[in-house]
Amino acid sequence: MKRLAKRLAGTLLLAALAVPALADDAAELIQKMARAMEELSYEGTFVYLHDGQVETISVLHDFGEQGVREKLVSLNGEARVILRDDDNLTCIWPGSKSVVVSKSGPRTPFLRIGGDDDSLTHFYELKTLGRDRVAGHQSHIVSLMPRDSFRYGYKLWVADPSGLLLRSAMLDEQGRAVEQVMFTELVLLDAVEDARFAVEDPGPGYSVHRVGDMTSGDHPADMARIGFAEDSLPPGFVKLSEKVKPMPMDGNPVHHAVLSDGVATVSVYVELMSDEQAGKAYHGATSMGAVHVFARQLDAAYVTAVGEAPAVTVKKIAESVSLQP
Amino acid sequence: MTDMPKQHLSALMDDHFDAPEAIRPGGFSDEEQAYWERMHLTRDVLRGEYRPLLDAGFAERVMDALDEAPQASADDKVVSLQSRRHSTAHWRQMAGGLAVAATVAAVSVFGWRSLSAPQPGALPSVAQNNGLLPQPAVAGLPAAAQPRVQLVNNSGTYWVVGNRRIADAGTEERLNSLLSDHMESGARSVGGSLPYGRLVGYDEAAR
Repeated sequence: MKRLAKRLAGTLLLAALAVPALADDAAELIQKMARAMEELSYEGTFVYLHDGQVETISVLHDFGEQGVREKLVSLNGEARVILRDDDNLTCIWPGSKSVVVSKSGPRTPFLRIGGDDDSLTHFYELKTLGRDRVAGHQSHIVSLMPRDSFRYGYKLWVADPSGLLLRSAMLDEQGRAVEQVMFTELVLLDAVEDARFAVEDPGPGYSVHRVGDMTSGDHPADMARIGFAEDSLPPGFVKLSEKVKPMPMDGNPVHHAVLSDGVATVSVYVELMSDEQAGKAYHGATSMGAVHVFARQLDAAYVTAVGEAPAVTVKKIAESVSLQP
Repeated sequence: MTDMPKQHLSALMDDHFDAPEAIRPGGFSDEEQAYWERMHLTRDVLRGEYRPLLDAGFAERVMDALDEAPQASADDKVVSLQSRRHSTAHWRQMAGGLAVAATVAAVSVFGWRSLSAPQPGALPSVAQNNGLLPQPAVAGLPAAAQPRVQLVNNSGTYWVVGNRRIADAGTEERLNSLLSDHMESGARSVGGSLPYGRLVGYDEAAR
């Protein structure tokens, strides 16, 4: 009975999603895509292209009575696994024989695209670019091109009628692909058996790190001194949230703030360290695909900014962190 | 096709299986074989390692060269015409055969490489050779037949500074932790959970 209800709900959702596909509107398609990626059940294989490399990854996604459940497995090299549900994010790393279990973040809707808030169009130009076929599915192509050099552009292939994202390309200022994700196979599912999301015992020798919550009594009062010089931030980036929580690997307190321009997000982590600890930590810029990192020391604090934005943006955000007297 | 053969095929592409483990009793189905070849081609093209040995216009160019070749003499004109017609057909056939043979050879080379045990030092990956593309498989081919396919800068699925990767395991682990935390930070990025591919695809073997 439950399965029948779920199937019916899935069918109704598909039917509802099919209607806006007729409206050739970029913002609507993006909203539809964001909902579909979360609220449909599907299984597929996608390739992730970046820095001249290609990785093949399988994804299993379920939306049902237990909320969102998802499993990603690397098909190249070691079988790295990420399991995510409404409560936990579990990463299994065979290379370092470690399992990291942390709290899932809230599933907020896609930011500031469509709706009453049109501030996004100050920074991005939204367009539809016709239709294409990817992994056997018809799709609408949508582009979000930045109006300055502080953000990447995007080309999105949104499946018709499901709304699933079949392919995406993140583009730099010159329109070159910095990172691409493309499904080679994708199947919509009615239901997914629970057993497919079970976490298997990875075997002997693995260490398990659990990252819990942190209350204000658990961290130094100095964390309250951390702030941002808002006039130094790149245009359009605003602070969405901030909290003090344990670092994922060592449990030390870290001040974590999330900034966004409505599409791109950058996280800023500020830890309080001794000079000796900070001296050993990484300083400067690094990157992986479209993700850039900038780390620097600020008096007794060590600041790391991480995000899918150009290096100049991430650096500027890291440099906007201040310590109040 | 079930998931398991796909994973085997994917692993085959990375030379991670020894032949006895990789080859199933009864071999792979046509569909699996096609999948494997498609993925091989995709990988090679995307890594910039794909080198078509003979392009589609090769046979036509051989024909044209024959047509433009000087005639021997008036005395053996009849014989020449006949032999030219024969030789043109022969060259057409041969060029076509060569193209097929080249394709088979290419598949065989890549296939053998994948089905064999890993060969130390053989055809290093881009990650292994610090981003330098391997030498063309066949020397002496015209440059037009050896396109350099490069989507973006060569590096790898790991943290880089300029063209160098970060070698410190502790720093890498920390950056990966921050990245996974960032992706769970509540501000969902474009592509839903697909960007988790960055983490799942992280190339620890490239350290």
